[in-house]
Amino acid sequence: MQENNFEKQVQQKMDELSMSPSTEVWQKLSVSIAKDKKDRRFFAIIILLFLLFSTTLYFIFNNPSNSEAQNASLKENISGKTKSSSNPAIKNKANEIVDDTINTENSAKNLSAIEAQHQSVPVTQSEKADVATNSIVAENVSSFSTGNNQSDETNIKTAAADKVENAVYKTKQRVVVTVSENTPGDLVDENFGTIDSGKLNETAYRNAKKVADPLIDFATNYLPHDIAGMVTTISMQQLSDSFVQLVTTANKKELVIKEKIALIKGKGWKLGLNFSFGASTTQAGLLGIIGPGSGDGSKALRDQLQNSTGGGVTPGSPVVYYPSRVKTGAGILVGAFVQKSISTRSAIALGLNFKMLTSSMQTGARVDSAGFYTGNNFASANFYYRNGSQQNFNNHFYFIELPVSIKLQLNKQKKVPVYLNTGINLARLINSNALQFDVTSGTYYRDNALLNKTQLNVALGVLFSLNAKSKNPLLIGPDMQYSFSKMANAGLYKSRHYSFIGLTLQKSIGKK
Amino acid sequence: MQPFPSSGCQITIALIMDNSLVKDCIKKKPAAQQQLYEQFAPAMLGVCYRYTKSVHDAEDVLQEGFIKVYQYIGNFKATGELGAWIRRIMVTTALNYLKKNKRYREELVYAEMPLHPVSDNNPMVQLDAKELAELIRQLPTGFQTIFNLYAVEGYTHSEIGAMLGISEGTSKSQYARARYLLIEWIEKYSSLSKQEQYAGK
Repeated sequence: MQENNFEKQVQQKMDELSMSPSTEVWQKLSVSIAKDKKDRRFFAIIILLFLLFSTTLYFIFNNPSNSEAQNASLKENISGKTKSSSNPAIKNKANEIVDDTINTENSAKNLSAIEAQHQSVPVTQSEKADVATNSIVAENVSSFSTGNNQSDETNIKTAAADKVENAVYKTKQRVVVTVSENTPGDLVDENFGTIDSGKLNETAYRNAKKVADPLIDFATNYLPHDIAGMVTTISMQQLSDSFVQLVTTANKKELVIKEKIALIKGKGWKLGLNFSFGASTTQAGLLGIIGPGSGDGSKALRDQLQNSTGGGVTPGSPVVYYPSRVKTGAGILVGAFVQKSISTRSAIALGLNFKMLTSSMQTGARVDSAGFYTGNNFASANFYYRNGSQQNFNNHFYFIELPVSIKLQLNKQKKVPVYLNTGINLARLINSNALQFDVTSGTYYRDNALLNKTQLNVALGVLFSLNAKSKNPLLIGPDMQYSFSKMANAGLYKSRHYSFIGLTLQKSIGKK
Repeated sequence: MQPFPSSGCQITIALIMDNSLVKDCIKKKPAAQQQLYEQFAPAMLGVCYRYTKSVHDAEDVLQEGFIKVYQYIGNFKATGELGAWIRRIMVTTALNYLKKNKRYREELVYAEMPLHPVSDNNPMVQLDAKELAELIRQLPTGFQTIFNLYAVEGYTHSEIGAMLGISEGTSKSQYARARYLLIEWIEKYSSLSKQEQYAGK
């Protein structure tokens, strides 16, 4: 086709077109590749550390071997709390409840063991007697049966029902007593009331009876007296299990009530300490990972080059120097805060922190001099560093910052509460030894006037409570800060932002 | 080393070498990355040059393009030709650059215009590659882009429409106008250079 001749010719000619890119392209490209590799490695390490940390915490706090110890500790806690009451009546009731709880759990263990034996070995009379002797619940039923020497349905049912009623009554009393003891009178009915506890007990009682009644019916109607005693014991056990559950629920409710009481009583501010350590960077974008790419990262350099060469770097332009790559350094934050609960699962905190961020770069030898030539101009300085890679120089940035943060509990778990800690802070650069770079002379020099002194940062972190039951638990978790403000409007740090990622430790001090 | 017995064999060897280069680039070996750059950068700068208005911009596109090449080289299928794959990335990067860059974006207007009759004129293009590229770069950015995509890269008008977010008709009419202008300029340029030659003699 005639028309295509032209296109073919153009295509052929354009395929021949080949041009040599300037050396600057490969230099920038290689810097960008190296940065990308380093950033990926850094990011991967951070993710791995975070995963490792989370996994460790998960295994520490969810290890099954800890649950028994935690139950024992819970009992001690409940027992300790109620026994410490000054009212002797409350104290006695509390003792009874705790003892009952422990006894019913022991019975459960004994019965489970005997039930397991039943499956493999025929049960003898003496073993049955052992069950009755060793199990508190079985003992109750046994004594009831032998004491009255009859096995009629009504008596067994009555005995079972009485036992449960008694347990329910005790639990009700305990909840009511606990609430009454700790709560201002007018709040008892209005906010926490006994109605909920009553409903809770009634439901548990009904559920327990639903399970136990058919078994007791069957045992009394169709089984011999001694076997019926056994079955009744097992049924009683189920009732006891329900009771244990009931007590546990009541305990939980009690804790919630106590928290609410603490919130009502403790509306004041609480003091705490804060310590973070990790990595800091002064790259473009968030942590030098997310955000503008390498092209923008060298914006400052490009601007300087344009200024020095009169626009654009083309072959034949004056010689220009490239600054060293600014590498990630360490960061430390130390501070104190005051915190106030604003609801059961959230708190607001105000603080004062001292923060040090660092970064490093390669420079040449230090020269103590009155100044140096930048192009045709002389810049005064007490000292400067030559271009090169003979030594590693650490740039330090010292800040004082005022953080305002909100702490939100993310889960309802009491064992390991997890908090989202987020906020903003206003930081003031108080000192720095950071070096700037002059592209025309290849000189590193100090000029803090180029740095923006006031910075607005955003902070985000997750905190895990290591010992939640303590009065002042230690919180630990990953933390991240990013500065919205630019580090500088000119110079080497133009359009760069401070970032920090690390591990934070927080601890409240003083009375709960 | 024995010369390769046929061009087919040469292509096979080149493909094997490309594949080994690609494998090394996937492993992020710096030497391989540099080799890849050195092998393809001159031709690719030519591609970028055709889409932009300055060498500086072309180099920016080239740099961005190579960053993408290194980033996505794992997606390259060994059955294809590496050069063609890199070229597609460069073209896409150039188009994105034009859309992102304010200076180009303002010029990148694809107004619907009456379909210009396709010129029957098919002059012999006696310019060298650089001269022809310079003329293509003199076209308004919209014309320049569509001309490059259709005449040089070989995309169809419907593909160009999809790439630039314009209708197939707009692409056709813009191309016809670009072709007309370019042929006119080639003829003018050729006659001028002939006159200069005669004057020189």
